Amino acid sequence: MDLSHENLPRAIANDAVQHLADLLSFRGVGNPIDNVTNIKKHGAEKLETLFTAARKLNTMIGQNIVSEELAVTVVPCGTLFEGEFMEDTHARVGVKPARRTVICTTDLGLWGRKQAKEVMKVLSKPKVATW
Amino acid sequence: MRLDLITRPIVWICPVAWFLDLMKTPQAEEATAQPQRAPLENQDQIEAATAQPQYILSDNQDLDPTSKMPQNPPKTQTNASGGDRKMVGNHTNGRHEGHPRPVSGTGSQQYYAEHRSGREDSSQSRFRAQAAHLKRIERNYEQLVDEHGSLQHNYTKLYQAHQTTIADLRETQVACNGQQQEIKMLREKLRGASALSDVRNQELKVARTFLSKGDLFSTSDVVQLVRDLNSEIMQIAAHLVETLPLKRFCTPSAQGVPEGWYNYIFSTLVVPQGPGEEVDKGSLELALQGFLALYAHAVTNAWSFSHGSDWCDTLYSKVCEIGTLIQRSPLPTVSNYLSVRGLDCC
Repeated sequence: MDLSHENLPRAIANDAVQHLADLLSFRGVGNPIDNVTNIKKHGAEKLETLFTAARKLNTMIGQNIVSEELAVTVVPCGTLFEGEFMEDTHARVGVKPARRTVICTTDLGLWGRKQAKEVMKVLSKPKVATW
Repeated sequence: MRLDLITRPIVWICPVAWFLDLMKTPQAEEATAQPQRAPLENQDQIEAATAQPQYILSDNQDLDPTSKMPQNPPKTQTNASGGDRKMVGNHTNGRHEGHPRPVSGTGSQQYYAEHRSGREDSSQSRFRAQAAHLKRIERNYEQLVDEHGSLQHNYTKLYQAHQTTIADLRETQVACNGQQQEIKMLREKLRGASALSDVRNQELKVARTFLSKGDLFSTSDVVQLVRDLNSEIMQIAAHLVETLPLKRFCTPSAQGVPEGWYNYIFSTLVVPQGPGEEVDKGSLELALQGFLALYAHAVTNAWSFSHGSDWCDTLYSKVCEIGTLIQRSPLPTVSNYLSVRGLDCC
């Protein structure tokens, strides 16, 4: 599959559909035979739109910004929660933040710096789900 | 044109010179023959010799026929002119054949006197005509000589002008050759400058790409796009939770499941319930959001979307192109190098 053409978002969407169907099947959710068809039917077009926007963001960050160095960030799964760099939108009540473990990143974050010698600053904290 | 001007006087001069030479021939012969003659013995012979008609005019001789006409014509015609000699001979023959010569007495003297006077008249008229003709020829000759002189002068001037033009042309040709050499050198310099310009254009291509498009998007635009992306992820996850069948179909399998963040998310959040029961929609929505966020992150941070055999070469070329960016950036993480498929290894 040639991912360098204009059909890149569609190709990524098809890959994501197949991957998601496999994950659901491994977890016993839905019929493994129908999962791909159902996901394609209800979410393929939206996924293609999502990856089109992601591709545009890739172009903007990688080629069109020089005044400020930017990077889209996610928090690695299984790491401890740090409120300085991330935001917990689904925090369980009664659990201290220092003991929370990140399950996944639900919203992407954005880091950036204006000069090479500066430290990357958080422009937008990634939102995570912890437990 | 120039050859015609030169040859025309020669064509005219040659017949005139030949005619004058022809007219001068008897006198010259006579002049050359005189020293070889025997010396004259008496005055009568001297007078008879000097009394011969002079038809050829010298350069300083007067053309008036009456002043230099011979008073005592000779008894025998010794004129050197061939035409005159023939005419005189015919006349003599006619005289002997058609007119019987008187024997003696006054009749014969009268006859000779009349005949002499008539012959003198005809000779004088012929002499006058020839003299006039000679005068015209001489006049024409002088005109031709003048014309020849003027033409020769003009030819000399034209030849000098021609030589001057040839010299100027040679100088111009030398200057033109020098200018051609200079143009050749300038062309070589221009070619070298063009090659150098192309090389520098290639060197500054990356920098020009970044510098020229620096103001195309601002940081706030990127932030807004990230927010839109997150919103899109949330909507897609919610839509899939609402539309997909979420009942448990089979027992979860632990074999063959690839290790990585995706499996970690789903194995943590998607907990299977009893047979036929649905999974928790909130947990599944979080898992779908985490799944889509990882995919979007992989796309936004991907350095290359090609994952063939030359993936490393492509990566190396991109690193070389943005070497300046690498120098001011922290060491790239593994996730930066990975393509979309590369996240499977996480």
